[in-house]
Amino acid sequence: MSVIDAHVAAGDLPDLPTLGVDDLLRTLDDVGVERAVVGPVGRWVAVDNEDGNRTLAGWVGAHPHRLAWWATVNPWYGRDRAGAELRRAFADGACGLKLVPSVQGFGLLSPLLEPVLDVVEEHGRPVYVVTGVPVASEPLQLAELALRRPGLRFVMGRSGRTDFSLDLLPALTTGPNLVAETAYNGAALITRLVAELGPGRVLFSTDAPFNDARLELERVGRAGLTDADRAAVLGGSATAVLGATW
Amino acid sequence: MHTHLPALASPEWASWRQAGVLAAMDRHGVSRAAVMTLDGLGYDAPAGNDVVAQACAGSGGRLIPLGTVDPRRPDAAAEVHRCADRGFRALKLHPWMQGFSPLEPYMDPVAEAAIEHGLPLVVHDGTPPYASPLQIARLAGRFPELRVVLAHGGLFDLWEDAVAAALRYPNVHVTMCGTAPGAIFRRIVAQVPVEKLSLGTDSGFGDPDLPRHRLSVHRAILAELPGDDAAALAHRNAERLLGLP
Repeated sequence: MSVIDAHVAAGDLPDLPTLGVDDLLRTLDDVGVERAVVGPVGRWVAVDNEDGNRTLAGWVGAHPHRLAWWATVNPWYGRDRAGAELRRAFADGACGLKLVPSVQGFGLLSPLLEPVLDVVEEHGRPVYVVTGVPVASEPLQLAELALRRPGLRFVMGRSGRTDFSLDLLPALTTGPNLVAETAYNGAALITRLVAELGPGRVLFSTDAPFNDARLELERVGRAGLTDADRAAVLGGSATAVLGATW
Repeated sequence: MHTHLPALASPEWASWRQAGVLAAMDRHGVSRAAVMTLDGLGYDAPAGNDVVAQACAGSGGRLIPLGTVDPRRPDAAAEVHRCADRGFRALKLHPWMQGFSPLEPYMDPVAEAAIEHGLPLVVHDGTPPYASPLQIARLAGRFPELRVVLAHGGLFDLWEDAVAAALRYPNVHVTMCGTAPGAIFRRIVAQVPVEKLSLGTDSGFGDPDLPRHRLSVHRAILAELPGDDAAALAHRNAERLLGLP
């Protein structure tokens, strides 16, 4: 069974671990994950978007059969600068846009975001949003955004942790353009996500190196999914949602 | 250091048996567990405490009863005394479930009664407002004789605040319990003196698979520590906080 990790973290955060591309591939090998989508963190998200985007494009260029990447742009760079960098990143092979509202300093319902989302929609790509920080990125804010932008697909990154676990299902069931990831969810909740959303809207992810990838994979194994559903969650759904060509 | 009884209206409570819980603890290699109410945080604190007392009785000391009080109620301190008299080892408070702020004056008689009996306050933290680690730490600052446990170490995004609180106030302790990635727990261990740390699973609340996952994360961290530090984190600190032999 082909396993795809829809989000591993790349870049430096103060005090937290980071993986270079070689260590990342070794970690994936150890756990049995064939492919992963790397998403930027830290200064690459906050301010140095192009540096991060080019670095991750380089990783993927060197390992095109193992890796894909989420690009990011900070909407505060404005329609022209953010839009231009995002177009460049998509041309460079990014599979979608990652947003971290609490780090990038905007609310999910801010008009600031609209021109950036227009570019994503033009390209038919998904948007991965780190949710769970009150004020900036609550699950129901992403659900409202999904209602406003039915032409876009949004991944509920980090599943509203913490402490919006009670909001998760009400938010994800708001519309068909909301997609769940498994990281941070218990096995029983993963079972419910698959039952309520269908396996095509649930993506396996680890958020390694912050989480132990093996433990994240193990709890998907304990979710009691049928073989077909497990295959979708572990890889098929990601291929469809991300449109990754590997 | 952090488990809950299921809510009384839940199917989990209908099938709750002390022997089953003790057997599950054996399977997971857990010797003792601090037991807290869920219902008592949302409904009636004394009634929740009564259920905790019954659930822990006859467990041979393996289930450690923790009580709760509704700080807004004028009889909150009286319930602290009642908890102490029946052998409860600490008090659990949950600002957002119980609808209070740790900074408000009605906390004073609760804190004073807890000090009188040497009961630590275990306070849910990591969820603003009113459960930010630094808000809870101010209560510890106002009552230096009170031991205050941040029950989740900032939960996730506020872990740096939990570390700051533990370093600022000698009487602030941290339980590593919740959704935070293992990488964050490792940073807490690296930054906070180990004698202030304990482990919890939140078992009984939320997904039934979480205790297993969280114990796997905890065990990986314990395996990286020198023996004395691992023992302190795994049980000695909790035993000291709860006054256990």
